[in-house]
Amino acid sequence: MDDGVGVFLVGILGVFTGMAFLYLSIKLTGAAVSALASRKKSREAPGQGGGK
Amino acid sequence: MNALYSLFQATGLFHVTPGLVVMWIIGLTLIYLAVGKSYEPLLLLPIGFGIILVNLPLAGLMTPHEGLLWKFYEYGIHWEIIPPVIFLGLGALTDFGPLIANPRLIFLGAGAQAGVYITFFAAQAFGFDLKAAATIGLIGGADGPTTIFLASKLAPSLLGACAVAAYSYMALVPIIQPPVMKLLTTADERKIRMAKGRKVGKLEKTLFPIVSTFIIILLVPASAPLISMFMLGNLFRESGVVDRLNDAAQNELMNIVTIFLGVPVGATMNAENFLRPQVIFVFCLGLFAFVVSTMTGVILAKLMNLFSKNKINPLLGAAGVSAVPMAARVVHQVGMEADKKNYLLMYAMGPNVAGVIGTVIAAGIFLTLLGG
Repeated sequence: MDDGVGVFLVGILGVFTGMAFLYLSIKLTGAAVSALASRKKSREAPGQGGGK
Repeated sequence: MNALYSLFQATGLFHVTPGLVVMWIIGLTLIYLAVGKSYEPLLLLPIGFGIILVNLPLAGLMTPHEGLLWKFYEYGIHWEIIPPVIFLGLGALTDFGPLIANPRLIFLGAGAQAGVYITFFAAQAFGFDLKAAATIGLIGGADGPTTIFLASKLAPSLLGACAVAAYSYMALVPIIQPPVMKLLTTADERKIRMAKGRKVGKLEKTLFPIVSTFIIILLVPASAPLISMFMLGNLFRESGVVDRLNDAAQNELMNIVTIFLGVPVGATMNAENFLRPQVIFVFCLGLFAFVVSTMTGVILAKLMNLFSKNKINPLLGAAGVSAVPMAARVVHQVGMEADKKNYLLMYAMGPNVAGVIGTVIAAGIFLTLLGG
């Protein structure tokens, strides 16, 4: 039964840790992608209207 | 006369026992549920037929090294090929967009796994050893291929019973989950409308399977066979450059392996192995696991609401079991009963796909701790 308690605790903790890391990775990837998109926009902005 | 008697002895008829007849009835019942009631027909039909085949005396289809179905089982399931290939198809069918748009819902997929571990504990109390208890607990994750994957490693003698229990209860999600969801939530809670999630771009969706593969396999290496194929399938889908592979993974490949999964799973259920009191406990504990997983998902959503400005509709917690997309549809339906204009389906898909990942992680942890 002691082994069972260990598996139970490690299991619950492991699943939540895995999901927490995945949560952070989604947040970080989202932030990185938006930063990339806004940088791309700011680079394109000075060129706008240049053809007039 | 003696020659005639010898001939009769050489037929299967001479070797029919009451146990075999009971197994035929079980096999026929599963086929009836698949054909007549459309309960998970893709799996229950081949499983039912496999049960009949393995219980035909002298057919020898599961004779080690010789029987046809033994070869399907050994090289398909025991060698860890079929469940990961199913996961390749599931990955190709999965849209992680709703999860990426509302990432906090990922924890509801973890919350439902608490039911897996609580049932693991309960199974131990009923006298099952650690490996069998882990396999039975995982039924609560409502993920057939993962249950089969874990059972083939930890408790092969319970594989058939656990697979049939998992698929049967998945088919019964619309009956099992709503009373539990209603019991744990008030009418006002069921009316909570979710804040609209942000738009998720192609780049983010393409990066998700790559980043997730790194994180999950680095944390739980034992989950690699399932998670790697799941994320590869999803990369096929989101990259948009391998449409042929994406189509094959979703359709032809998935259909072929489903045939080779169902029949040998049914074939593990011979009378000697299946007609034991233990199996009744497996079915009861499986149902318990399913109910508790639904409860823990809903309770976690309510707990998260205590610390959150943007309230989560607690019904979404029930979608944390990974019966995709049935559990999400049930959440949507129960939500609509409380408020006809509350569309929860897309939000429920978030915890639903998170539940698949959560169940794989739970299986990986069991494998790591209890050995293969």
